[in-house]
Amino acid sequence: MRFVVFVKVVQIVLIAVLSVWNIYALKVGMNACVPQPYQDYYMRHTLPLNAYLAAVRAGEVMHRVCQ
Amino acid sequence: MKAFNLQGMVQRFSTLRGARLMLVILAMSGVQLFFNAVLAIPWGGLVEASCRWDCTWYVGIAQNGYMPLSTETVYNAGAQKNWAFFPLYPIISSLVSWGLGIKVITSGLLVNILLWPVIVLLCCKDMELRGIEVNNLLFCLFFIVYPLNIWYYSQYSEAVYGVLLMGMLVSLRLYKLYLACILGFFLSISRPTGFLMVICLAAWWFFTARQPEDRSMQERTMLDRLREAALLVSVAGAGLSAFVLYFYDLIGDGFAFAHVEKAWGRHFLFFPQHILIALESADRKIFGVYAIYVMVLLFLMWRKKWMVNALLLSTTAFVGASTGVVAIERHILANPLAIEFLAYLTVKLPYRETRNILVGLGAGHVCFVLIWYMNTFFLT
Repeated sequence: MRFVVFVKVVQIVLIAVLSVWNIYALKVGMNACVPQPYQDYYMRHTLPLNAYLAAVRAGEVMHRVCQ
Repeated sequence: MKAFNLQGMVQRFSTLRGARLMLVILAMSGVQLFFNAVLAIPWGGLVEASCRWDCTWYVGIAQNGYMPLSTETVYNAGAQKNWAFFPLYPIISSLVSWGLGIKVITSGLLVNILLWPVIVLLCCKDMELRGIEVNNLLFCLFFIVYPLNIWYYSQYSEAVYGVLLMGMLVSLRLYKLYLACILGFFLSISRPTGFLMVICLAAWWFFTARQPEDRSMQERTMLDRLREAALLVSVAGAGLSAFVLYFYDLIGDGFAFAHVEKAWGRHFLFFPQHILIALESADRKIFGVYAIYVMVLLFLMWRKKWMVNALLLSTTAFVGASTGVVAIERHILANPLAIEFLAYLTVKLPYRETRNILVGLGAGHVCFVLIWYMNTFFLT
């Protein structure tokens, strides 16, 4: 009986710890740190491919940018 | 002299189980491998001939990792990146390549060749655990001659995904929760639909899963089942979360694997619209036809009350077809859950009809393998 309770407690602790990890990843994932052309082409779909590629060649999509 | 009786021999081997069944599956897979290799000779051998479409992306990830933000590729003049492909299969291919000292393109194929018999065995085990009696010899033979199993003999992630999906389902049927959790963790980093499959399996486990045979565990309350389902989802989610954080660190977008689909022309629409668009287009008509066949298959599956299979495949089809129907034949018709159902329907027929269907599928298999090697837009 004690062992069953112990297993349940371990499972609950594991769920709690992993849920914190998962929520943290979700929160981080929802706040992308990317250049504007990346956001407009891949995420908002408002930038045409040619304009995005021009921005890439102009060096505007090189590094992470937190806005 | 007594005449050779094929039907009698098939009947004698119909109740094979365990190690003997595995040996038979291995022998059948060996014959399949031999035929695929012979057919590949005009294209420079099996390794080269089987590497089509997404193979180059997987090999690239296994060799060089994921592309940083600034990389420009030759595909679609720079917008397509390898972020769309999940990491488990490239990691395994890379480890096998390093361990055996062979090329990644060869190790990737080797992994799939070794995992394919395991998938067939797991499907047999699934049938056994559900209490459905079938002729195991014919059931396994169906998997081998099935024309759309070509991706299990190519450098694709289907085999890794199939083993994990069927392994998790069988583990849950055997009430091996912790094994299912571990498999779920890896499933979520094997393909984009992996985590969704875990959520579906957790829901199935919560609502309808059978009670374990162990009497001490039979009196499970709703809270117990909720805790177990939450454990499955949180462990699998941890795998996906690690992947999200990796991408955030690499390029600043944790969900880049989803966003990059835009570069392949994939975007969300209600799935019948995608089917109609495919049917009206000149070069994608065949995928519209595949999608209709998928709908018929799912309808049959629900009607026959193959609930878990239908739930998992319907979810995959809904998510896949909502962003485009290209590759739906691979996502659904090459899924072990679909092959298992089709094999069941076939081997339940009278022997003569089953035999004729298997012969027809065998001929179809040769055609599909050749089409795959030809690198056409008929199969992707």
